[in-house]
Parts: sequence; C-alpha cells; structure tokens
Amino acid sequence: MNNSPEKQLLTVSPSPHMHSARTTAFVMLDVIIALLPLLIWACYVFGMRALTVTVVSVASCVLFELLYTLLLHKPISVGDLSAVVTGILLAYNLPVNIPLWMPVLGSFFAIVIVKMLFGGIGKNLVNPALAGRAFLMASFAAAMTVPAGIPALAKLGLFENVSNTEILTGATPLASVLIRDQYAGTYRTVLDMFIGNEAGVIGEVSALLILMGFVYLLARKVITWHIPVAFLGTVALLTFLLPGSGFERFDLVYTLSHLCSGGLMLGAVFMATDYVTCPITSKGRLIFGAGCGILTVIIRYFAGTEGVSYAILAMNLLVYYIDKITVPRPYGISKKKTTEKKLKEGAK
Amino acid sequence: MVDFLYSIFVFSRGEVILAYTFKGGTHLNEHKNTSKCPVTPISAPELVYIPMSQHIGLHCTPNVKPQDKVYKGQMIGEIDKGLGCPVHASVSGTVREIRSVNNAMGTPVVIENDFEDKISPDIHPFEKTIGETTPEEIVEVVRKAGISGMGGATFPTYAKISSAIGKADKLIVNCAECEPYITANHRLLLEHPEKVIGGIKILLKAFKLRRGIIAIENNKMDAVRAISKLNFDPEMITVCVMKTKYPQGDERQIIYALTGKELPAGKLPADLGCVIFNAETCAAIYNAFVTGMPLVERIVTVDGDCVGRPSNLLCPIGTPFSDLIRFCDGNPESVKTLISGGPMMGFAQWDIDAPVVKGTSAVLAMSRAYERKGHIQQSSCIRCGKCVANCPMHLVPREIYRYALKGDLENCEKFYATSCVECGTCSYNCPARLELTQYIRTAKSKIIEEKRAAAAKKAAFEREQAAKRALNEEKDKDKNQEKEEKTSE
Ligand code: SF4
Ligand code: SF4
Repeated sequence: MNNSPEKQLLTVSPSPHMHSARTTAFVMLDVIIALLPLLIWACYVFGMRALTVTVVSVASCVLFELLYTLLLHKPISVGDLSAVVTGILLAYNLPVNIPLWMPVLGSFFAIVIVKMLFGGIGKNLVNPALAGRAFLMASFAAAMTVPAGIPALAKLGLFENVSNTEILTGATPLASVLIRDQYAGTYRTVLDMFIGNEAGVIGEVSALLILMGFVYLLARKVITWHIPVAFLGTVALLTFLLPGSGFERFDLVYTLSHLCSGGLMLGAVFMATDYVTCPITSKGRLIFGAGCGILTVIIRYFAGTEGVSYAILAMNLLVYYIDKITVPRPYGISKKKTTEKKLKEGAK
Repeated sequence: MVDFLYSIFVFSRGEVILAYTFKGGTHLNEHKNTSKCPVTPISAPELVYIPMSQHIGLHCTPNVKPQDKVYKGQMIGEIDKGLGCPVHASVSGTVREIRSVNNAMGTPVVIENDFEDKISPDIHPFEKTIGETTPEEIVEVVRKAGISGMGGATFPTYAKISSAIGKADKLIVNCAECEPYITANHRLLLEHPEKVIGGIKILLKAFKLRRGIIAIENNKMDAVRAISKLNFDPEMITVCVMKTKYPQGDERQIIYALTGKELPAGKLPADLGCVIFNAETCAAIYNAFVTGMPLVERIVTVDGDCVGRPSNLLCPIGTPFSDLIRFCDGNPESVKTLISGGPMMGFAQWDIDAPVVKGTSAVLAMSRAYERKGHIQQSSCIRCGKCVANCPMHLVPREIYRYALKGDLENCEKFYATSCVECGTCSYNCPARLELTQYIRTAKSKIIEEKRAAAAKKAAFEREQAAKRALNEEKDKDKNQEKEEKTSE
C-alpha cells in the first residue's frame, strides 16, 4: 500500500501461476522411451543394421530440421525432439537391408516437404514419417519390399515353404497354428507373430512390445486410448465378421493374424496417435480410429497389400472435417441450443 | 437424498470410497504442505490497511476521519444503498490517514494499532436462540457483520442468502479447496468443525431447510472424520466426499457432482435450487451470531518457496503480506512473484505490502526460480488435445485461442468463449506452454463488452425511434387538426 516511488514493484502475470512440468519435449521423450524396446528387438532379430538405419534416419531428420531453421532464420525447434520421433518412426517403417541413402531421402521428404514447409510442428497435415515412407514406396518399390529370407531370421526358425493355408481352429492350441502373415506372405504361428519372430520392417514385428509401449504411453497420459482401441477394434470386428475371400466367418485365428501382422499395431499405437495429425476431441478420435480400421481392411482385402499407412494418411486428410463435426457440447449449454446455433449458421 | 450422482470409486490411503466427481478437469500437484500446520493467530501489526472495497459491489464510504479513535469491530466504512458489505476495524487504535489511492480495492483506511485490543461496546452476541430467529433477522446480522464469500469470489453473503430464500432446496457447503497449496478450510474443519456446523444450522434456518451437504475432497479424509465425530443430527448434515480434482471447488462442478445437473449458462445456482457457501463463510456467520464480532480476521495459508516455514495464520484483515512472510521466516526481499489466492486462479500482486482482505485465502511468495520453471519457452500448439480433454466446461480452448490471437471474436463466440470460467486448467496442462487462459479471458471480456455496447446502442436507438415516432404522431395530429380546422372552415 506504500506508493513511494523508490519501492520495487513485483512482476505480475495473469493466472494460472503454475504449470505442469510436461512440455512438448517431455512428451516426445516419453514416446521415444516407448519406442526404444522395439529397436532392441529389431537388433536381435535383424542384426545391428537395424540400429544403423535408425541412427541414419534420426540424424538426418534432426539435421534437416536444423538446417531448415538456420537457413530461413526461424527459431530453432529441434529441441522439442519431435524430429527424433519422426526419424525413429520412419526407420521403423523401412526394411532392414535398405540402402542407407534412402532413409536420408525419406527424412528430407518427411521433414522439409511435409513438416517444415507447412510451418513446422503442429502445422503439417499428414504424418511426416508415414509420408516419407509412402514417398520411398512410390519411388523405389523394389527396395522397400521386405525380403522373406533375411538370414538372421533363419536362426529363429522361420517356417518357409509351407504352401497351403492351413488355418485350423478348434482344439488346437493357438500357439501352434500356422497362419499366413497377411503382409509378408510367410507362415508363422500366432505366438511367433505376437512376440515378433517374423519378417517385416524394422519396427513392426513385435506386437507384444508395441502393446507394452501402448500401456506405457497410456500410463504416462501421453496418448488416450481412443484411437488405438477404435482402430484395432474395427479391424478385429471386420475381419471376424466379414473375412476376406477364401476364409470362414468367426475365425479367431484369422482375426488374430490380421491384428498381429504387418504394420497394424505400430500404426495404431504410434502413427495414428500422432498428435498433430489426429483429431483433438475424444469423439473425433474414435471416428478417426474407426475410419483407419475400415480403410486398412478394405485395402488389405481388395488391393492385397498392407494398407495401414495409406489408411492413416487418408484419414489424416479428413481430420479438419472430423474436428469440425465433433466440437463437444459445452457445460451448461443445452443440446437444443447448440443445434439451433448450427442450423442458424447453416442458414447463413 | 442426493438425486443422480456422477461418482466413481477412488483409493485413498488404503481406503476405497465412492466419491462424486465431474467430467474433465485435471489432478494437479497438490503442494498441500500446510495441511499439518495448526492455525496460529498472529498479533496485529503496528499499521493495518483496510481497503474500502473487499467485496463485489459498490465501494464503502469511510465514516471515520483521521485522528478518530476506533475500536476493534467498529464499522469504519458503510454502504447506504446497493450491493456491498460494510467494513470494520480489525484492531483498536487511531485512524492515521485515509489514502487517496484508488485501485480496485478502493481507498484504504490506515489504522495505527494501540495494542490494547479494545472491543467496540456495540458488539454483543445475538440475543435470540436459533429457533426464534426469522430469516430476515439472519440476513440483517450477516449484512451488518460484513461477511462476503471467503473462498475468493467475495460476493456479499447477505445478498446471496436473501436472493436464494424461497428458491433454495439444497444447501451445499463447499470445502473442496481444490487449489494447490491452500489448506485454510481444511484446518478450519479439523480444528473447529463445530463452527462450520453452527453456521450451517443458521443457514438452514434462514432457508427453512432440513438438510445441508458438506462437500469435501477425498484428500481431506481426516476432516471428514473430525466432522463425523461431532454430535449432530445425521439427518441434518450429510458429508459428501468428492474426488480430488481441479476445479472441483467451482460452483458448477460441485452442482454437477452432487446433483448430476448442469448449471445452464447465465443462470445462478439458486435457479437450480442450490445455494453454495464456503466453509469459512459459515464459520464467520456462526461467529457473528455467537460473539457478535463482525468479519475482522480470517485464516490465510502462507506458502511458496520464499517462505521458510509454511503456515496457516489467523490474521486481522488489513495485515500487509510482507508481515505474514516475515512471520513465516521468509525474506520479503527475495520474493519475485506474490500471489493472493491459489496458484491457479489467484491474482499476482505488484505490491509486497498489499493487505489481507476478506477474500484472501492464501498468500504465495515465489522466487525467480519458480517463475523460470513455470515459463519455459513456448512452441506452437501440437494439437495434443489435452486442453480439450481437461476443460471442465468442455470447450475447445485451442480453437478459441487461435481465433483470439487473430482477434476474430465472432469465431471465439462460436466456440463458446463466454462459457469459460477462467480456471486455468488448459494453460496448466498445455505442453506447448501457450497462455490459453489469458487469451480466452481477454476474448471473453471483449465479447461481453461488445454485447453490452451493442445492447446499449440498441436501447438508445429504440429510444430514439420511439421519440421520433412520438414526434411524428404529434405532427400527424397537428396536421389532422389543421385539416379538420380547414375543412370546418
Ligand atoms: S480456463 Fe476456460 S477454457 Fe481453459 S480449461 Fe478453464 S474453463 Fe476451459
Ligand atoms: S494443450 Fe496446448 S498443445 Fe495441446 S491442443 Fe491444447 S493448445 Fe494445443
């Protein structure tokens, strides 16, 4: 109450005066932690080259972002670690024996074209890592296919040369049923596929480790359950009720083979949940997840290739509209009022 | 009993309890360092500064002059007409000056303490027993005691009572205390539950109700036990445990948790039949009846990293914050940010000597280190959706923020910026550290201002139109008369 001029005034700032400790970098660090076990497993299955590919991809992502910000005199943003996450995810979508210049090219496309040219973090329309992968796929399809006979896999007992689609149900324990990997075209037991003893790109093979990452991210409240559950649930439901040609209905093994094969788990847990390119409301996330699931199954059935990444990319483009139709009803505003408002807007 | 309940099971210290809660909100780092610190009365300082406006409503006019002798409890500022609470001296002594500074809290009356604690002769307990008291008498006693909401909103309590009489069918006493750090209500319930319950009884009488609800968060189970140990009619008072989550103490969220109803935008709790009082307000009402002493002191939690010994203090209204900090082994010099109230909704003060007022539930003295920790570099929104998931009003803070940045008020309104209660949850959780609450608050007040201006304009226009019409009618009449005259000629 003393207004003497020599008195030192304190800083005032608007409330709240307290913030949670979790910053963007913190969140990204959690994602990286959840992704690391997959890398260790990949090194075990595919050899150390998995690590090399990942390091090259991460380094080039970070470098491209740094160079871009330096050259254009923008604030340096690599500190938020999102480029690291993009790099890891891109590498996880590549086969282990890919020539090393390809991840560099993919990183350039992902970071410079897809992310930075749109305005940097938070502004890109589609998932950079997936876009990078799609770009490489479109340009160098041959190098991007997963070879079935990677030597490292042989030591783990890869079932080659199983020619017929022996899908057995009934008394046979799940673990010993041979099923066809929907993507790699090889034959594995469900248990092998679940644990990750199969062919595939670097990060997608172990459903188990991916699910553990999911649990970690949930526990740390980094992501919500909506997208992965809606995504996986839709795929499970569709494959259970309406299996592809040549398979019977209500076949649990068939459903599981879809869930555990290809990039579905990785896509549902780590790619579709990318903050920037998924809807912000929980209702929107459910719609988004379900849409991804439907598209994935359609592509798998009718195009005969893995559809997860294209499904996610396609849904990414719809996020703007999903966000628009899923604005939640605020507390204390009746439904009638919100619809009236919408009608009025429509009339305008 | 309570009608529909939005409740869940929570675990708290080995117990499983069914707790009421609401949708949205977030669990904050509680920092309840002072929950074990008994309330210590502090002696009044040499000078107290008593602002003339410590409540929502009109400023009081001082009825004392410099050099006047005043007693403790004597009314020194009054309101003739309109909404407002009288202000009383919190110490006995001499009026030193009436400052001319005019800030939001009005002119402060400075009283020099004579340390004799002479109590005003006008002060005596209320003569009648509760049974014989009429609601009007209760309103009058509460008004004279200068009681305003002590949770921080500072709405004059007598006005709240009298406007809700006849409408209220549910009396809720808010002991949620969901803001971090503050434990003033918690300690009050532990040490003097009988005061709160006494206050509730008086309020029940005013509303002619049978049952009151004490709503309390589950981080204060010891207080729940302290209340249930008291001897009172269990039919009369129900204790409802709510899940510890911010902002559970907001009226709207309490109503939702306990009744399952949403308070429609722009309505008062009384329109839903609810009337909500802060626990310390109840105790103040009880004091006003039992001792006759008006509201001249309150419990303040003093905490923050500049304070050596976080405490709960019973301080006379008008004590400068710097005295409290010194009393708690803190160094006022090291303070960089001083918050009156909780860290989520409290106000930063620019003056270390700002006085304790009726609405001050806490004083938090923070150093620069705290500030740095709080304000890490901003990045752009990463669309994480946390602000949407946690907004207790179910808004989309990110969108309002975006439009507010552009100054696009129309779109802010489309996203219901005016429903925001400024709780700060969105800013707290934003990993990009965007000042969401700040921008939404500005947009909201601009929208409200614009609406008011538009309404005023419309009213003025209508008045003008009406005047014109009247004029025209008169002219017409004149013309008609002229015509008539002509024809008659
Ligand atoms: S400050 Fe407003 S917008 Fe932000 S969480 Fe609170 S009510 Fe929602
Ligand atoms: S919390 Fe912050 S970063 Fe997340 S969506 Fe809201 S504004 Fe964006």
